[in-house]
Amino acid sequence: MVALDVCAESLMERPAADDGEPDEATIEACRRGDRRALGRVFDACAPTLERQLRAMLGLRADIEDLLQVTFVEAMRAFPGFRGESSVRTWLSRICANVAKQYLRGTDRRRRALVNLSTEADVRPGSALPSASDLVEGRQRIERFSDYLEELSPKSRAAFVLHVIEGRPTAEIAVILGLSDVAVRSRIFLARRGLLTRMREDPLLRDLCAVKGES
Amino acid sequence: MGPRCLRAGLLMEKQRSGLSEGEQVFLEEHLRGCASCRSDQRGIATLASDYRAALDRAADPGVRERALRRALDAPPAPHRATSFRLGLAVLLGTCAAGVAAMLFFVGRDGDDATVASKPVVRQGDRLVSGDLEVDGQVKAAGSGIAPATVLSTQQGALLTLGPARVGLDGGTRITWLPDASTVVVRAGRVEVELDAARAHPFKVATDRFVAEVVGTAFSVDVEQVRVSRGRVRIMAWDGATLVTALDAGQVWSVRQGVRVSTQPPPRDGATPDAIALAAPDETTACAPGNSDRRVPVTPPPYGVSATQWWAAHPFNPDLPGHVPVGGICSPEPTIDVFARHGGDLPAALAALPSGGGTLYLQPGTYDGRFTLAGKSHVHFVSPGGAVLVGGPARIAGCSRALDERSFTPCVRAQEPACTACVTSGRVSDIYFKNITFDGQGTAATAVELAAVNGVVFDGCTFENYVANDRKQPGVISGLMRPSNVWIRGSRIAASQRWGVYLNGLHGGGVVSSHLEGFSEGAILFKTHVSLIGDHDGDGRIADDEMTQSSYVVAARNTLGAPAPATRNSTGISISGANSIVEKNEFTRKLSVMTRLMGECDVTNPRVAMTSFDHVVRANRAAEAVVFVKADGTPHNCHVRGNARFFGRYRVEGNVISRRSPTLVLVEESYPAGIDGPNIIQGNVCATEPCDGLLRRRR
Repeated sequence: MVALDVCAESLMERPAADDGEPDEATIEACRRGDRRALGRVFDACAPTLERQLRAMLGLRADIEDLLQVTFVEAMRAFPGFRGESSVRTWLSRICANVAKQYLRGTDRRRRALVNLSTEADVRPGSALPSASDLVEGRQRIERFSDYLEELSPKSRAAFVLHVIEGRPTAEIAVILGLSDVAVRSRIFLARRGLLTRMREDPLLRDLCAVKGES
Repeated sequence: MGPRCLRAGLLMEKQRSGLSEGEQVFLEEHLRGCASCRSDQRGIATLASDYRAALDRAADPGVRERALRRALDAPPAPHRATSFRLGLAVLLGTCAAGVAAMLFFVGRDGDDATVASKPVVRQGDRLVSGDLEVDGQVKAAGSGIAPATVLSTQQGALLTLGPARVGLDGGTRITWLPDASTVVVRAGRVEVELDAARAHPFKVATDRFVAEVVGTAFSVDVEQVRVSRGRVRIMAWDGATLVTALDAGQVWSVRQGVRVSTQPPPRDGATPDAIALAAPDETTACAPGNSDRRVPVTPPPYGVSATQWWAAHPFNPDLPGHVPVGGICSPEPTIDVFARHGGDLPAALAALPSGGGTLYLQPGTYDGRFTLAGKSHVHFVSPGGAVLVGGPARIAGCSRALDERSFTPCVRAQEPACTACVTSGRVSDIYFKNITFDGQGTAATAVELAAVNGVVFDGCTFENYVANDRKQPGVISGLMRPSNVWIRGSRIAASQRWGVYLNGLHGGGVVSSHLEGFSEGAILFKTHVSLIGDHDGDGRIADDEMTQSSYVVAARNTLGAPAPATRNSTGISISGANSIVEKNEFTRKLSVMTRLMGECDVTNPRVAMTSFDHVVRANRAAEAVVFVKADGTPHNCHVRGNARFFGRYRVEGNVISRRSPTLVLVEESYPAGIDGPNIIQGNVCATEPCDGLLRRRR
């Protein structure tokens, strides 16, 4: 299967995300329900969508199902795709809605937890870490994940897409159906909430300034 | 936080979208002077970066591929929710994978399929008489039958569907798929009478087989097909023919099959002529002259190198006098499973004496779902043409070992029964010869092994197995201290995540076999990360109680194409020690041809489980992205000082036919964790030496 560049990592940092969009013929084929074309477009975007779901939900066991739901919803909706945003943004929006519906369903928010590997604790470029470094590194990420869970779904989504995924706020506004100002405001609130929790946490306190310090 | 800090915070969020010159100047000046904001920014950035790295590591290509495949394989959905969509939901919710597979089957040539419109009842598809419920609504005689809905009858019904009159017994549940001229039977029994003057073909499918009408009248239930008039062909879900022609008066069933061979069955208990048919040039009964041709059960010689071990191993095809594929001698008595037990494998197994024996499988189909627990010296031998359908066949030292979740804690707690099961109680000397395992497009695993020592598959075929989400995702899966497990001269062609997935294998391998169609990789010899312990209670964890794979070999195999739409597939993956990968041929480009790594036990992180001594030599690849990936990451290992757990590999004499600009011969991942010496020599890419194509990634 030929992977399209539409969701390539390199696009993450670009303000204009439409480079590498599938051509109009491919989009038209997707609108017609051509499974090969859909497969190519989805395949190219799948890593981004998977990471977005993991960042927003963290629940490893459900990611596969939710990703499938995202694709199915996209297939259903593709005939109505008007090309007003890039395919990537459009798919991210569907993905965000799927995640939102999932969170709305139950108290799953509390259960959300990123399944972390011990590899995550090894900082690139460092010497072989000690066992205590490994444990501490893992705990810090888990704690950070917990605090992300405490944010409201919209604040978390905005923060994740902007700070973790590196998306521009204008694109996030399209994905989340908010204004650009509202997105920035939610990111700001999320950041402030996280910093508050970090300052209270002995494990994370040293990563940020103590309140009042200047 | 003062107002200036507040403004700086807001500007930081706006930064990626672009700041005005004034805003930029303000932000820079503020950050220069405000240690608090700088520190906060760094802290969030550090955690976000680590968090993103963790997400990247948690990412699973298999998850994406399965989700995408399932989405694309689903039938086209209408743009808006309609009654059809609800009906389909009921269908998928109530029916097993077979029906889902059928829907795939029906829509398979729909690459250009457009979004489905509301289904139309075809003229002539109607209820003639009897009672019928469609999605919970009772239908009157004469009502039309909508496609792809679940039809059920309490007392029985007669329908006309396309060119056929279909009688439903009471309690039958079906779905009618007119585009494929197929009735899917989920429960009960149908009788089909075809109008010979109208167009064919017409099929009746269950979740286990598809019967295609060649003649005129037959009946089908979920287990069997009985032909009244004419002729029927029985197929697997992928279209492979199971029975070419079932004639009037004949019955075929999933469990008992039908005899299609003209060879007379052997007499029970006698030296089996039929076994001689399988290998006419060899005497395979365990006569005094060939008693050394047995399934190996001795532990590997811990302490000697893997190359020494393999050089002297009787299964090494390069060793003069080696035991050839199919050359294992089989114990007496021999029981003809069809002649003696009507094809009922569990009954035949139960009839074997406690000392074991040989089950002779004459050509035909047999139910592949059976359990062999606690009985050793059992051989399954066929002259060819014996098909075990479905699966898995489960082979274990004790039945408890088949439930990993409850059995693992039991072993770790050293409960005597569980300890015995994984030590002296492992079943041994199990042999499969010339058997075809057919997953029929629904089963995920052909054979599950747990607590075994000595299992050999010779000349077997594994096909039509599909991916699943289980923890041991292989067509052949094994765990709980498997030893001496060998797959030789076999063919594995299945879209399961792994062809061979053996967890903690000591002594064993895949030799002279062909693997293709896998999604994550062809062969995985893995470390069992939760079972290490002093199983025999002698106060120490001996070599054979370590659970990294050890003394494992993949030799002289050919690896074909992975499953369609698969990305990032690995050919051979080894998490363990003392491994040999040699003389294999990789015919297709894979992301990583051979991956070597180490893992430690998650429950005993202080036990140093080293993964040294790997040899990758004399393999040939048409093309590669990364030929060997050597991963030094100390997975689960309790790191002390500069301790390294992985390394001492040799990559030599390999040939890669095409040298792409991005080709990497050896990629060392986390090189700080790799011990030496490591030798890379004599490798050729295209026509030039390429030992220098080494990449190190931290």
